[in-house]
Amino acid sequence: MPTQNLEKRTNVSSDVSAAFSSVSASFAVGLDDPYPLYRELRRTSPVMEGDLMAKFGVPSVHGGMEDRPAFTLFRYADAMAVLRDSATYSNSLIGKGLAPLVGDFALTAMDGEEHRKMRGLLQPCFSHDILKKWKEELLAPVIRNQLVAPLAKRAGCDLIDDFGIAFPIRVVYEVLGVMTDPETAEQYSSWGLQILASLRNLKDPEVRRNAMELSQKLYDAIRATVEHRRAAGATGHDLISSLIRAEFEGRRLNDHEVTNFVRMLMPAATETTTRTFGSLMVLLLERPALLERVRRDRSLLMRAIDEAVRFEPVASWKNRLVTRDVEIRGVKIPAGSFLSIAVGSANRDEDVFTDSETFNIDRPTKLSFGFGFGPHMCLGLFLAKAEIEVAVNAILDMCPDIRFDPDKPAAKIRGMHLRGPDSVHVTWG
Amino acid sequence: MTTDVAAQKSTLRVVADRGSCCGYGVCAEICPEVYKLDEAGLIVLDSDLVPPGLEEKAREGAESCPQAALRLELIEV
Repeated sequence: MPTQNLEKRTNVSSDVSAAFSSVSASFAVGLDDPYPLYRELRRTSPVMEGDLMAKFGVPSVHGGMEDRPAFTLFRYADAMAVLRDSATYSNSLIGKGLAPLVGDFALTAMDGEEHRKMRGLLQPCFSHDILKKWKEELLAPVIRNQLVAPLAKRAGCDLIDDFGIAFPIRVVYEVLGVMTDPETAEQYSSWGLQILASLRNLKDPEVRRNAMELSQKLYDAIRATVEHRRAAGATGHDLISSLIRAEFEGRRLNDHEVTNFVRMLMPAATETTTRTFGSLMVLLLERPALLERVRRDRSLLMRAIDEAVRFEPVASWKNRLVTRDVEIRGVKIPAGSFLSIAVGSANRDEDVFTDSETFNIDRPTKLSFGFGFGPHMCLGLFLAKAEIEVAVNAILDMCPDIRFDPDKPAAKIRGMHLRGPDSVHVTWG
Repeated sequence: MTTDVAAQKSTLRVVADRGSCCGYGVCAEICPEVYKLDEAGLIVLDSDLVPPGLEEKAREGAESCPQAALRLELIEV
């Protein structure tokens, strides 16, 4: 895969593409299709000794798990119980792993009361009212008019390279209100993705130094914007302004905290959305009758998105540190153990989902864990879903007879973690 | 059919712990008829009684709360 040593090109987008590919390359190890193995393990060893992720060399964003006893969970009920109970199952190790990316202020690494307070402060910045405003004022004009409309004039494209990587990045920058300079925005994104791709080899001093350097650049650039916006009164609807204004139980965020939070969004809010969109499109394009049904009745689209998040969750693994001795299904798990939770397996648990290995948008509404669960459940899940909804609606409107391009390699959803298709070649007209 | 349902009484009551709610909004997405969100995105109930016919959705919404801030109680007749 041509991910390293790409010649410096003038087109910033190709840098972002390369950075995206290098994240794919870092994480797409192990089995292309892990689901048969998950099915087997759900049955034979739902609480498995050892870390299945580590066995297949799948990088974890958690640090400090070496030399700890490790266990892997595969069933829905266990995943739900563990993810909900952050007192017993802490997410603190992610702070060590993600340090270069998130600095010393990381919502995802907080537990208990500290996390509740910070979440209470941040959540209103993503409320349904704000989301509605963003959807009307930002998502539709940007995704529909600026990205899909020009694309529709062509005869076909790669939905990942030509659209899927770009739209979540554009949305994040629109939401942050820093879209005055698209090239700079793409540069930030490329840095964010390069840092994410490097997580696998952070023990390599050179890789680590490079990641820290990029992270500092990103910090400095965002910090300048945050300070500028606070000085200007922070009155806008943009996310940076609302983070500056946010208050919960008397607590507010300083510039350092706002900057760290925004920096974390660069990878968290972009490439996962790209992959979710890509997997949804593959699942629909593989089923022309279903695609046609959704095209005719757009009220089904959100169901299709939710089912894609269940059936092909992008973030297929969660990890937790066990803080006290516990027993799950008769297996004794000592305090200090490292837990891997196979969300991709839990989402297909046959005890919970009828015909669990079938993509079925008509199944009864039931929570799955594609956006995680419990206190650390994705803060931006409604924004991500809204973006994907706007994107797919625009494509179905403007490229009505969209189908796989028979002359190009078939799209394939692959990987054990950060799962998704590398490319989705389509044609229309 | 509709008159039958209207004639039925609620059998379930929602107990919401607003102190635990962090405004994830999952309940309101699954069962918007019962679970509402206020300006800050936190849980509010127009009525704590679950309308007949919505028991299943209300239960799914409560079970899906990431903070375990919602539970349903049987109303003793």
